[in-house]
This record gives sequence, structure tokens and C-alpha cells, in this order.
Amino acid sequence: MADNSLFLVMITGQVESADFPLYDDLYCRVSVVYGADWLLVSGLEEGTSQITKKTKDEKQKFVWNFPIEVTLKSTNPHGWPRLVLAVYGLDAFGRDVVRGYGSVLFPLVPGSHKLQMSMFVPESTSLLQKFTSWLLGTRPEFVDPKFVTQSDGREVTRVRSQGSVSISCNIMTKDIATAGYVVSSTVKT
Amino acid sequence: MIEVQRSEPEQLSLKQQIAQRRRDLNVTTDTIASESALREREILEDSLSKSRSLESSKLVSSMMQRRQMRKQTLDQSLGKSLRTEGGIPSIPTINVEDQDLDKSQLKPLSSSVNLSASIRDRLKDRAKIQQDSAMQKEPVRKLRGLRNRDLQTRFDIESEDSGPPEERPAGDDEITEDHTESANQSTTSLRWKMMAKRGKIAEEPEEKIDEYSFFTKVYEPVGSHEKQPKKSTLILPEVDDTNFAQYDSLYVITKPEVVNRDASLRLFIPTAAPAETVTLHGGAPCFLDDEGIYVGEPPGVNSSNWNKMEQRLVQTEGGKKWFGIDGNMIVAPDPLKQISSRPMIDFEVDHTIQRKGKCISLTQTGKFIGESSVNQLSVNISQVQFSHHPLFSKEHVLVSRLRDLYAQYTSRQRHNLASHLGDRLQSLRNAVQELKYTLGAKPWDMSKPFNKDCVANLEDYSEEIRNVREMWDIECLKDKNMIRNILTVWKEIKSLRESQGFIATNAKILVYKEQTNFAKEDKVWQKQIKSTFEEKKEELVAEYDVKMKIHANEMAEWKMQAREIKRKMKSDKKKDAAAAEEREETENTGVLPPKPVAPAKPQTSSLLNEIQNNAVKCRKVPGDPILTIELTHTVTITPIEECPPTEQKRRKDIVKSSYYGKLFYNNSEVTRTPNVNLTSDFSLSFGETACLQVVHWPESIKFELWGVSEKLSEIFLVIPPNDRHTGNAELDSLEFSSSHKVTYPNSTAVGSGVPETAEGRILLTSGKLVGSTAWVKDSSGKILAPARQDIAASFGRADPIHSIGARSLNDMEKVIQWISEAKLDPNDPRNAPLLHLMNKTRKDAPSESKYFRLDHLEKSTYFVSNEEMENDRRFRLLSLRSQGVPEYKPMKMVPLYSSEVTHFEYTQTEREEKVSLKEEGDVFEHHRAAVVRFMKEIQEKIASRSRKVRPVLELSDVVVEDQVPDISTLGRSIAKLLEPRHPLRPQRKERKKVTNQAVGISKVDLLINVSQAQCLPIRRRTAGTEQRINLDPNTARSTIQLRPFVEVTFQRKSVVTHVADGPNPHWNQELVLPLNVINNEFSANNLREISDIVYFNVFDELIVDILQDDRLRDTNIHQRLERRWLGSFQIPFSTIYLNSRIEGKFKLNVPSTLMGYNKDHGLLPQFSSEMLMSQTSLTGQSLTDKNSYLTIFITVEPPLAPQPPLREVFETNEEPRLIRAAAAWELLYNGKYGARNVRSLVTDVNGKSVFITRYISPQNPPHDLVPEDRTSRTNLTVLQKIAKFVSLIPYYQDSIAFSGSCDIWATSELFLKMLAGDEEEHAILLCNYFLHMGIDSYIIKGVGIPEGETCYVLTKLPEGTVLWNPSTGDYHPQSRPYHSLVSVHFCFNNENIWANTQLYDDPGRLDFNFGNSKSWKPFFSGRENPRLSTVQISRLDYIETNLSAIQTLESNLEKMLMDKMMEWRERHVTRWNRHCRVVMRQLLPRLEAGTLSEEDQTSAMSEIMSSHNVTGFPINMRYSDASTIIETVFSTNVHVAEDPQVEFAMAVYIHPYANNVLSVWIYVGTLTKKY
Repeated sequence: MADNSLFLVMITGQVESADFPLYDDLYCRVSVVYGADWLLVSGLEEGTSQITKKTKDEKQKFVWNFPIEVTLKSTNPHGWPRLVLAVYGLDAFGRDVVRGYGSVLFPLVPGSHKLQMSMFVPESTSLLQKFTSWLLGTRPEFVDPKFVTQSDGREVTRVRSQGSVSISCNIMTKDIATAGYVVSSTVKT
Repeated sequence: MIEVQRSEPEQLSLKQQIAQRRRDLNVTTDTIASESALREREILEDSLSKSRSLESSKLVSSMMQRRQMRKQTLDQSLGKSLRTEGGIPSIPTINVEDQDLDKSQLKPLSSSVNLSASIRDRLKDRAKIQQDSAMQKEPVRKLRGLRNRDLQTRFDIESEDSGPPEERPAGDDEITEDHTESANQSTTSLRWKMMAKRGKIAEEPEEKIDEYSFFTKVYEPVGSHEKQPKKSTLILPEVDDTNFAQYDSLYVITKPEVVNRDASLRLFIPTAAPAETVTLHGGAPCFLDDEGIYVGEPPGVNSSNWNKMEQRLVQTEGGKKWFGIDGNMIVAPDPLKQISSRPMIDFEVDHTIQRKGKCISLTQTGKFIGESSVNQLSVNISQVQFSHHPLFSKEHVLVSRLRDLYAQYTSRQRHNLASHLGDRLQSLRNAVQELKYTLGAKPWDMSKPFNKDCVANLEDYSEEIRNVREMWDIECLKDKNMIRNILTVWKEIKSLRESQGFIATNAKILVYKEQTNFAKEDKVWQKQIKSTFEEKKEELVAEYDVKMKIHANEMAEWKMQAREIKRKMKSDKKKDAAAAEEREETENTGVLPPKPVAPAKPQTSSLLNEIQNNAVKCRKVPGDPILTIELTHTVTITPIEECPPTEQKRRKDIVKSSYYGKLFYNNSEVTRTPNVNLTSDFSLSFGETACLQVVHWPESIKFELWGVSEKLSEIFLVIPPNDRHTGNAELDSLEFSSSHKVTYPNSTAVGSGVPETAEGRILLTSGKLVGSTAWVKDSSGKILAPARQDIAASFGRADPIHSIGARSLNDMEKVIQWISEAKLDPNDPRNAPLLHLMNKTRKDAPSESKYFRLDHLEKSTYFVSNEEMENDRRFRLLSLRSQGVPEYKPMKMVPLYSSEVTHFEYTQTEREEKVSLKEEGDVFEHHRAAVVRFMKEIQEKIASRSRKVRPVLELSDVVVEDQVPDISTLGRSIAKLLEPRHPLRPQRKERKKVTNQAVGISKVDLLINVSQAQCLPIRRRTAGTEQRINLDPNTARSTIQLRPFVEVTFQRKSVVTHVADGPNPHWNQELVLPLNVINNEFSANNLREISDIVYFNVFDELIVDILQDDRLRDTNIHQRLERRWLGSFQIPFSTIYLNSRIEGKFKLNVPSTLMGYNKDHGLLPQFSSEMLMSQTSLTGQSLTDKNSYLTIFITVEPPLAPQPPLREVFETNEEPRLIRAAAAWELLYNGKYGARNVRSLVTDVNGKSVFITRYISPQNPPHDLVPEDRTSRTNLTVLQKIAKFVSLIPYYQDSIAFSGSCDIWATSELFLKMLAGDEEEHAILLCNYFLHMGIDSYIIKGVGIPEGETCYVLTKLPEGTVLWNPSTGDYHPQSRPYHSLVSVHFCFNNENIWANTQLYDDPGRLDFNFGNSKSWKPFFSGRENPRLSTVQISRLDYIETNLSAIQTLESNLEKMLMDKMMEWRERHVTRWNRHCRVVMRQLLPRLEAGTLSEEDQTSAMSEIMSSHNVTGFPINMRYSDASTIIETVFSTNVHVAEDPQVEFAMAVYIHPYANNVLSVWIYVGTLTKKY
């Protein structure tokens, strides 16, 4: 495949902080999801952050500063990389409970970007289940955190929105214009 | 009671009375909202009024009684209202008492503020008010803050309530103390205290309060002294209660009665009763629709909501403006209003996004035409002529009037209407003459149609003549008057000129006289008079006739009436005097109306005079000269020097005055004309032409005429239509006038806007503008007008004149076009005629196109053509991948450019062709290829169907969630706790199933638990082997019968169990085999496509001692392990996948003869009968059953739940009634009996639903299988043969092939043709054969081992009920305790379907008497069985199998197997024993025939066995393809023989049946030389 044309997308950035009122002791799992025509050149596509407590000030932020650095090569913009975040936290009994899922498409435009990502968690189907899940610490979870990247099957779920995560990322592309794709509004001919 | 009055106006007076009474009685019950409560109230009031007499005497007893009654009704009403309002206490509206309260409310508020005022003073005030209202009972409530809350006043009120003023002091002190104490308390503690007290009051209902107030408040004298101090404690909670309720709404819920009272004072809650009619000005409502004005339909609103809203509005300030003049709420926008009352939404413009486009403004002004076209408008202002000007002298005024008259005169002259009408009259008269002549000549016969027409014409003519004559008279009179007027004005001018002494204008009237011939004219005149006279006479006569007729009718009527009355009078006379009164009455009514007066005869005497006078008045008298008038401007105007100073001033002013004009386009000034001096004839000649380059739509072109400093007037010019250009534009004259006042005191000028003294007329400056507007035509002849624009769309849409212009109103096409564009409201009656017109024209208009295209724009969205897309390799690759074509599905990194796509060689069809080419071999391979192709076709068909129905994900697929514990699971778990424990008998737990649709499973294992085997063949003891094998001869007999182990092979990977002992070994070992999937993707599609088979082979491990030297035996062990194949069975992976777990006892396919082994345990001498018995009890098998069984459990880890079968509704040819019945039937039984499923509709090859019984019909088996004589037909061996034939037809799991979505049921004909099918095809064929043989047979649908859902055939033979496994050909009598069929769901035959409703479903325990309705529920019960026709053909034709082809196949197969064998033994030399092969070959046909006994076989082999140790076995199988056979042989592990001296023997025999159904026999053996 060496002689084949392709373009490169390099993503560097970090999951900076999160805003989850009412919760504490959160960590997040980061993964980068991409399509079939993409190939990871370097970097890690998955990672788990440290557990952080919220700040003591009135902002009550969770700061992770968890770096993301991936370089991908591709032949097809279909399946442009997405960032998938799953935030977990410890509940009062120290059990791991999911606090939010979220997914965001990495910007197509090269440059520095700040992303704000709103998170959600699946809801229990009934009040009784809600109670039992609270009691047993087994909150409803998605079978696969990557479920949030796809549109299939969303209609059967009920979610509650909670919290948000802010991400900063820098995008660099190489040879994407030569492949005939225009990704920025200012086109250099 | 306002509300009550509204709701029931007819009871108004009653209610008022009641209210009055209540006031009198000081009854303070709550008003009740609900009507039922009202009714009860009425009853109450009745009782109250009855008891009123008693009350007047103020008897305590009566009061008590009343109170109790009230309480009762109150409770009832409250209960009712609670019920009606759904638990929320109904809260009454403000009532009369409340209003009274309001007055008194003012006081406490002020007093609470003024804390310095003494309590007592305030109490006094309160007492006064209290006495005024004379009904105050409840405390006043207000919304107040907690801190400002003045408890004091509350206590005051109540304390004042509690006793008469003079008795207060004692109580007052007490209460004040109380208050101060409570005031010092914190609010919270206070609240709690109140709560506590409230609780007390809740226990003691109002009864006491009422009682108390009754005694204390009004009827003071009656024993209030004693009770007061006690009762004051009771009041306290009541007071607190009210305050408390003000800020604690939670409390409200608990006690509805109290809340009712509270809420009624604080809240306005509208009831659903209609509000009183409100009109804007208080007058009577007027109804617009009655007056014929379109009011439109009000939107549908619930009447109670409507009423509530009305009530709210009535209450609120300024709410009345929401009521229209009809007294109803304004609910819809005024249909006559043009502008939307909705405010404009100001869209926020996102400045970051720049859009390039046309700016379209929503407002009317500034509408762009567009940038592309050049539009030029030419505005020509040529002249302004004043018809009146302030500087006009009196003479000028007259002259201008003269001019007007003259203009009228000339236009009249031009049209000459009078002479035209005269001519017309003449010609009409002539026509009448002619008609009269024709009629007069012939007999007056009305019967002739011609005459009829003539008379009709005559009437028409005379009518017309009269009209024309009148018009002519009028016109002539006008002409005459016109001349007279002109002459009068002229005379005035002349006299004015004389009187003023100068001439200011040059107008002059010239009158020409034309002398006429009197005689000639007189003749005409007379003739005219005469004819007119005659006509008039005729008319009068005709009129008289008509009148006479009417008169005659009236007379007749009158006479009738008269006669009637006379008769009555006569009859009355006969009657007695008693009826005198009545008679009088009748007389009164029956008075004769006055007799109709006959019309007077027409008087012709005066008529002639009248006509003559009229003629003189109107027309020119004969002999008078004809006057012609001409206006000239020839009079010389007196020079300015000779004029008086006033005139001189005027003339100077004229010279001084100058004007200019401004031109506005769309209200913006575009140009200005230069100053133009007023000429002496009062005109301004501008002669200006402005050429405008137009960007906006023209909406107005305005010309403003300006004096030196002030605007004189503005004139709107015509917006030219598109086709009007400078070439064809005519000068328009547009009149204007100005209302400004100008006076010239010392001048002869009359001024403007001032009343003219003489005639009282006000002369206003007026005039006309002569000019034109047109579009510019450029040099090429193109009109530079904007293209046809839809001004109509932008504004004035509803007004046809506005949008298309008055000029076009006569143009039908334009009107229709406008109608269609304007989107008129079809409901508006104003539009009815227009719409009618449109409908009419629409019908006439030919429809342009009769087709409709959805995608006519789609083509423009393509960026490349379809062919290009097809030819582009990259796109093809991408689309193939997205379609999920297996080869391309796992593909990653599809190259960026088509030129880089290299490994893309075959399209799908090409691939298939390649496959078929490869398999071109013998006839059977060919056939197989054809079948595969056919299957593929069907598969494609089904797949395309199921692809449309995307798998629907369920919540459990995407979200992991705890199961909610329901009663059954809870119960089960509790029961589990109680049930006895069997720690040594572990039970399998149900695992949670994982769906593989959304899950990324990385690894799937096959878990196989091999538990035990039963009745394995045991080794035959031969002298030689015993010596060699058994190391310890002492133990040989008892121990070494068999050392079996199980090898499981899947996907060419195998695992083995440990070696156990004996023919009934227990392994209890779990084996794990990994599952390999294409691309390692465990998607449902991939898993479904796995066609691999799990092979279970049972081997006997043989330890061969190969130690050559006996001397070393003490020190060395040199052994070789050999495995001997005992039996096998196989389960396709798909079965495991579909059933997710398989558990049970499987029958091992043990060859009928296994050389070196003995299947018949009973023959063994060492087994005692006891042992056999114990074995029987152990295994639960009868001794006659020689089969070997293996008990295993298979599942996959993690548990995979296959996609549920698609419940797709296929199209069908069945009757809808049947389909409905089937659905109902299935619904009734599915899920009711555990896992049992019933089905009545199945899918056929064409993808249509077919009723299941249609498949069953007697069909003939191949003739060589059926014996000739009928008696032996039901022989079990015959049936067995047939079953064998059916079982030899190759097996093809179609539910797997067809993407698991549905099972295809093929007809027997197709099945035999394809030679491929699964259980149901086999079962149907077998059942049909049996039916043909005259055997009562059914098909059982149920669950079997190992295939899962399966079909068996049930036959009711004289020997008993027998179950047949159609795919193996085995049969079990029902009485046998063990079956490979585990459960029976339902049965069917050609007539009916029976659902199993018995407690058990294993066939051994079932009652197969289908007539028993307790055990079986039939689909068609009773008589309604329609006996559906079959889909099968009645006679099957069988092809004779080609014997020579079979022979070739046989030899090919043998050669292939031998080659394979040598291939598998790549490290060893493979020797073939020819002799043994020949012997085996001879044995095989006899095995097929079933005539070979064990003894025959041993005797046949004895020669070889004497010199060799022979192991071997025959395998019998159906023929589908060679690879299956090879695989089977491979799995027996015969080739694994390590002995260097070993020789192999192999024989293949194929027994042909009809229709290319083949029975393949393979005999394999190993031979080792005996020492």
C-alpha cells in the first residue's frame, strides 16, 4: 500500500476538563473511532484517565488534561475520526458507575479547536429498575461505548443528559487537498 | 351567586331569592361549583325556607336542625364535587358574601399597618362594619408576608365575632395576651402550633364552629356568656388556620372544606359555566353573519375552556376589548384584515456565515427586480394645465366653465347620440309596421309557430321602442339644455367683460344658425307625434288589459269570499243563541273585504297633448334654426396698461409665479424639473422626459407640483404595463387638485380654496397633468421592462384590480391566471364567483400532462452519470463493500484513486460463473451446481426482501440493564431457596443471552461437555489380540473390553476427552473449541454463514505392544496407541447457533458391522442376566435397542442469541379470511404452552405464504419400492425402504441458507428435482408416500435432537403408532421410552392442523388421538373444514438413474478416496490389500439389501481373518458431493495407522435408486498380519 495515495490527519489535543454537577471522583475513557478506510499510523486510540476530584472552588470542575495524539491515514473521508468519551465515577459505595457518554466528530478544518461535548447516560426503563440499579450500583450502561457514534438503535434508548466535557484539539492534515477534498473554507488553489 | 345566575338563567329569580334568604339567615355555606351540588343546595334552601317561620321565633331547636341539614348537604356536595373534579376540591368563585366581605377588608388592612392605634378602637370599627354587613362570620383573608402578618387583627376579628361588643373586655384581654405570646414566638414554632391546633379542628368538623357562631354572633342573647371563653379556644385554630393557609400550600390538600373557603377569597378560579354576554359598548350584541357579513368559522374550542376564558376576561381589566360586537370572544383574526397581527420576527443574522444571494426584503418597498436585466422607465411630463388657479379672474372662472361645457358639447356632438337614437326608433317602427303587416295579412292563428314568433317579436319590439323613445327624449333634452347652458355662460362672460371694463380672456362663442324647411320638418314632426301617440295608446291598452286580468282574478276571489261568508251566516242563523258569541267573532273575522275597484279605462284624449308638449320641450320645433356653437380664442385681451390696477396686479402676479415639479419613484425623489413660469393661459409646459434606470419593482411613480415654496399637489402617474413602451405610449391626462387656500386681496384674482361669493361654490386649484410613462425600447427593439413579475404575490394579492389592473379585468385569461395565483380562500363567500369561474375554465382547459414524476430533478443532482459510476473501479468497490458482498466486506483502505485499485477482478456474476466452471465434472456434480445456482437465486430473492427489513435493535441489545424482578422471578428465587439441594447433581444455570448485533465480541468458543456414552460396541476377543493387548491376562476379561474416548472436530481442529473404560463410559469432560469466523467479525451475518459441522467420533484406544524382545519386558515399555473408530455423529454449527445450546442423548452412527467389535452385548457370556437388568434400569433402554448413544451438551460462549426470525408478512394467494383465522389461531396457542409454537402458514419458493396443509397429498413413491400386492404394502420393511429412500435425498439446511429469516417449504416435485431440502421437505415427501400407501400419517412439528426445530412423520399402523425421522430413515415405536424427538408442538395432515394442548410434549407420553379435543385443538373444528386443495402434483415422475454414470462415479469415488488416503498418510507407505477389497466389494450390495447377517460376514472374511487381524467397517451415506464423503472417511481416522506393516482395504459401492438418489457404501479396513 506504500505506493498508494492517501492523506494524513494528525490530531493532537487533550480532554481538558469536565463539568458534572453532583458527582465526584470521575475518570474518563477516551477512544478514537474511525471508518474502514482509515488506518492508525501512530498514537493510541484508546486511553483511560486518572480519577479526579472536582475543584474546591465554585466552578467545581474536573480537570483531567488527558492527552490525545493520533495520526491516521486514510483514503476516504467517510468515517472521519470521532472522539468517544465515556465518563465513569465512583458512587457513594465506591462502585464504578457510568456518568456520561458522548461522542464528537473531530473538526475537519485544520487548526486549533475547542470542543464542548455534552454527555448523557441511558435511563432505567422503569422506576423500579431505577431504584434497584441505584441500590445495587448497576446503572444501565451501553453495551458498547462506541454505540454513541452510530445512529442505529438510538430510537430504543432513553437517555438523561448530564454534564459536559471540554476538549481542545489541533488538527493537521496532509495531502488532503491533493486528493480533491476541500476541508477549509479558505481554499488555496 | 353570579356564577349560579349565569349557569341557570331560568332559575335566576329563585337563586336570588335563595341568596337573599341566605343573607337573612346568615348562612355561610360555601357556594358549590358543581351542578349536582346546586341541586342539593336547592333542596337545602327549600328546607330552609320551610323552617324559616320557625327561625323567626329564633328557636334554638330549629337552628340546630337547620345546621345539621346544612352540614349533611355540605358533606354531600363536597363529596360530589370531589368526585367530579377528580379529587381536587372544587373551589367556588367569588360569591355575594365575599363581595360584602371585600368592603370590610379594607379596614383591617389599614389597621394592621397602623399598629399604634389601639386594638380596642379597631375592634369598634370592625364591629360597626360587622353589624353593617350583618353576616360576617369568616375572618378576612389577605395575602401578606409572614413578617407583616398581624395576628392581632385576626384575633380581633374573631374575638369580636365571638361575642357582642359590650361583653368584650374580659375576652379581649385574654386574647391580647395570647397574641403577644404567640407574636414572640418564632414563625416556625408558631406554624407547628397551628398545625397541632389544626389537627384538633380537623377532628371536630365545622359543626362546632357553626354551632358556636350561631350562638355567639348574631343571636347574642341566647346563652353566649357561658360558652364564650370555652369557645374562644376553638376559634383560635380557625384563625391560625387561615393565616397558615396563606403561605403553606401543602396544607391545602388535607382539608378541602376549609380550603374552599380560603381559596374563594384569594383566587379567582373560573368555572365552566358560560359567562354573561359582554359587548363592547354595553349595547345589545349584533350578529354580523346575520347581516350577511362573512365572519368565518371560529376554531373549535371546548366549551368549558371557552367559558373559563370568557370569565377570566370579564374579570380582568381591559378584558372587554377581547369581545367582539357580537358579544363573543374574538378567537380568530379578522378575515377582513389584510395585515397579519402577528409581529414580525426579527431573524438574527449569523454574521459568521456569508451568503451570496439575492436580497429579498420582506417589506414592500425595495423589492429588487434582479441585477441581471437593465430596466429603463421613461417618464414624460409635458404639460400642466390649470382648470382653476388662484390667479384666475372671475372671467377666467367663467371661461373655464365655458370650456368645460364646450368640451362636453363637442363630445356630445361627436357621438350624436340623439340622432342615432332617432334613427333607431325609426327603424324599429318600420320593423313593427312590417310585422303587423305580415300578421294582418294572414288569419290570426296563434297555433302557427310562425305567428307565435311574430307576436313575441312584436312584443319585444314595442318594449324596445318604448325604451328607445324615452332615451331619445332624454338625449334630445340634454342637447337642448347644453346649448342653452353654454349660451347662458357666454352671456355672463359678455356682461362681465362689459361691467369690468376689460377683457382678460380671449374666449369667444360663435353661434351658427342653419335655416330649415318648415313644411318638410313639420311633416316629419307630425308623423313622429302620430306614431308616438299610437304606440302610447297601444301600450295603455295593453296595460289596461293586464290590469283587467288582475282585476278579474281579484273579483273572483272576492266573490268566493263573499259566498263563503254568506253561507256561514246562513248556518249561523240556524244555530242556537248559545253560540251567539262565537258567531259574533266569526262575523268579525269574516267581514267582507272591499270590492276591488276596476281599473279606469285609458284616457286617450289628453295623451296627444301630452305628447306634443313633450316633443316641444325636448326636440327642435319644426322651423327653428339648427344652432351650432363654436368656441374660439379670437378676442383680443385688453392690454395691461388699459386695465384697472387690480387687474394689472393680477397679471403681474401671473408673470411672477413659477412652478417646478419633483418626480418620485417608489417614494424617493429621482429628478426635479426646472422652474417653469405660468403662462397667461394658465398652463405650465415642462416638456421634461426623465429616463430612469430601475432596480426595484415600480410601486408608485409620483409627480409633485411645487410652487415657489409650497407643494401644490401630488399626482400619481400610471405604472406602465410591461408592453407599453415609448413607441406606443399615449399621453395621459391626469387630473389633480389642491386644497390650499390662496387669496389675492387687491386683485381681480379669485384665489383658491375660498368660497366664491356669488354661488357659494368653493373653487379649488385644480388642473390636469399631461404626461406619459412607458418602458424604454432599446435600439434592438427590446422593451427594457422587468420580466413578468408577480407583484400580485407581493402585495394586493387579494385585489384583482390592484394586481392585474383595471384594464385587464375584461381579459378572461388574465383574470383566471390571477385567480390561480392568488390562492384565494375557498371558504370565503366573497370569492365564490371567482372560484366558480376558475373551476369552469379548469374543466375546459386541456390537462397538460397526465403523469407525475417524483425524480425529475434527480438527474440534476448527479455529479457523474451512472455509467461512469459503474465503470469507476473505486466506486464499484465501495458500493460492493457497502452492499456487504462477502469478499469485499472486510476490505479496508479502499484506494483513493481508481487507478490504484488492483485486486478487484471479478464481479459477482463472474465469480459465480467461475464456480460453476470449476465444478464441471460428472453428471452429478453438474446437477449439484445447478441446484446451488437455483438456491442462490432463491436466496437472493429472500435476501433482498429481508434486507429491506433492517434488523430492529432492542433496548437489551444496546443497553445493559438489570432485569426488573417480577413476581414470577421473585417467586422462583424464593422457591429455589426452599427446594432441597443436590450438591452432587449440579444444574445448569441459564445465562444471559448476548445479542451480537451491536457488540464487539472478540472471541467465541464452542463449549462441549461430553458426559457419557451408552452401549458402545465392545471388543471381540480373539486369541491373538488378547495375548498382545492385554498385559495382564488376569484382568483382561473383566477390564479390557473397551477404552473409549471422544474426539470432537470442528473447523479442522480437534480435541479429545480422556480415555474411559467399558462400553458405558462416563467422561464428564468439558472441551473447548475456538470458533473461527471470516475476518474475525462476529456479526450475525457472519455467524449465520458458518457452514462447518461439528463431528463427534468415538474411538477405542488400543494399546499395541510393540516391544519386540520379550527379555526387555521387565524393564521397557514400548507401546503404540491405536485408535479404532466406533461411531460418529455430527451437528452442523448452524444448529448450535440457532438453538444456542444443545443437550441430550445422541444416537451414534455405528456401522452395522464393525470388524473386531461386537455390538450385541447379550451374546457376551460374561454378562449375567442381573447385570443386564441393572444396565437396563441404568440406561433406561430396552435390550432390543442395539443403538449406541452419546450424551453431550453443547453451547457457545459467550451465549449468542440469533436474530429472531423475521415475522414478515409475505404476499399470499390464500383467502384473507383464512389468513385472519390463522393469525388468530397462532396467537391463541403461541406462548400459551411454554415453548410450543404453532404455525399454519409457511413460505414457499416464490416467497408466498401458503397454508401448511396444502403440502400434504398422497404421492406415489418410486415404483420399485412398492410391492405389487396391496396387502404387503403396509409391511414395516416396505415402509422402512421408503423411509430409507427419502432419507437418502441430500440434506440442505435452508433456514441457514436463507439468512435465517425464514424457512422455505418446497413442494415434493421441486424437492426431488433439486435433491436438496431439510427436514420438512423430507417429512412431507415421506408423509405423502405413506398416504399413497394408504397409511394414516401425519407430520409432527416439534423439537428434535440434534437438529432443533424439526419435522417427523407419524404413522398409525396396526402395530401401533410409529414415529419416523425422515432425514435418517429411522423409526421409533411411540412406546419406546427414548426418542430423538424431544417435544411435539403441533401436527398436521392434508386436512387439518392440531395444536398440542397436552401437559407433556415428549412423544412417549403423548396421546395421539387427534379426535380428542382435550389433547389436540384443531384449526378447522367441526364442519367448516374447507379441505384446501393441495399445491403438490398428484403424480410424481421419476427419472431412471443412469447406471453407467453410477459406475463411473463409483470408480471415481474409490480412486479419489484412495488418493486422499495416501495423501493423509504422507509420512507412511500405504499398501492396499486387493484381496480384501474384493471381498468387501461383494459384501456391500448385500448390506444394502439388508440380507447380510453377522455370520455371513465373518464367514466371508474368515479367510483373510485367519491370516490377518482385520478391523474395518462399512459406512453408508447419502450422496450429495464427494467432499462430504471424503470428510466422513477422514473423520473415522482409519488412515491413522502407525503399524509399518499395515495394509488398507477400501471398497465403494453405490446403489442407485430412482431419480438419481444414491446410497453410497464405503467399506474401509486395516489389516495387519498375524504372527
